Amino acid sequence: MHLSDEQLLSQNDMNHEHLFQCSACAKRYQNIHQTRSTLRVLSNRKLMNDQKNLSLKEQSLWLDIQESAKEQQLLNHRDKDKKAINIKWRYVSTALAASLFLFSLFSLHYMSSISEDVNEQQIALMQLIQENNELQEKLFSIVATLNTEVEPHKKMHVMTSINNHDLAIQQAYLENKSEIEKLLLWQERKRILTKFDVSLASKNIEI
Amino acid sequence: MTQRIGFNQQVTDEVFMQAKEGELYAFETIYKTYFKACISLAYRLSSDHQLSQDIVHDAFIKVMKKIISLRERSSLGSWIKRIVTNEAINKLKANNRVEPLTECMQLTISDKSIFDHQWLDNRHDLDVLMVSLSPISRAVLILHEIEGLSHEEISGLFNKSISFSKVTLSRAYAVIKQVALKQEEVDAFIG
Repeated sequence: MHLSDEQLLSQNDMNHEHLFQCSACAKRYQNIHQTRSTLRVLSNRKLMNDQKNLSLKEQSLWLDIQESAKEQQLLNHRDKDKKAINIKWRYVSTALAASLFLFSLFSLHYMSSISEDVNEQQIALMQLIQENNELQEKLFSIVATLNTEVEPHKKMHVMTSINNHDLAIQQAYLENKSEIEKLLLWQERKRILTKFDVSLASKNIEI
Repeated sequence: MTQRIGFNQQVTDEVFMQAKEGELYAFETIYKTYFKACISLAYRLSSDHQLSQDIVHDAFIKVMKKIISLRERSSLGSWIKRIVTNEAINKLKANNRVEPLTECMQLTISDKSIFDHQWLDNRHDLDVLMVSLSPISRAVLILHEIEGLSHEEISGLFNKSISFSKVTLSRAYAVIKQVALKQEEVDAFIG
């Protein structure tokens, strides 16, 4: 009993045994093998002929896919976060600029109100404010040239820290807190600014 | 070291992970890596330029949607191949191009084996041979004989039994044999 075409086309181990014993089926199987090879050759040839036309569509098809993906919000994870961070970053920058302006006013006020009996704490405070202002100016000039190598999340975190700290300092002045408390707050602010400057210089912000 | 081609190509771990997070550039890298393999497969199955582009388009949207559930980077190529194949079959079905077991050409029933002699050679035109096949027969033929899918896999794609795949394949061969022999007769007559 010979194997059917379907059996030969889906050759399995059982058929294999038969092929060793039956030369007629072995010949048909050989023909199948040859037909398959020819079919592959013809298919590849057709594909080669059409490949140029198909490849031309690569870029335009990608644009279509991109468009559809955006419509279906498949690409939004990081892009959305980045947009949100950029918006927040703008707010933080504005807030920092306002803070700088306020601190400049405070420092001016202190400088003008210094009398001959200024004590050592006030001198230290003045020096700290001056150092803070210098550091902040340096910081802003670096920030203006920031590139994408700095991770926005970390950058955001540091800037928010500075902003929060500025609010604490403003609060200390409004509540007329002691010179020591103010001194500590300014020292902390200086530490944050220094850390930020160093991190930016090495392009590696550690929080 | 052998260079990988088609669906056997690999992307880096970074690209794979970034694609899972929905990064555009990562998807673009995946697309560029597998585009040729995808469009070739889609075109082989559909024999239609426009339809093959639609297949690749929809397949990549699925890749973008579902890549998060794919665990192994190494299986990305075969996974994309499966998606393109599924998409092609679905498109053929949706376009009412699937005509189960009915060939456009009247098949002459013969007791003789289809493979009693060597009737296909490199001079034949594949387009001419395939034109008489229904899209489903062509798809089964391509998937089994060129893409190397098993009858089990093909029957799964069509939600049919394994014998459906086997019978469709042998009928497809029977049809293209008839066409090939007719073509030879015409060529012999013209001289």
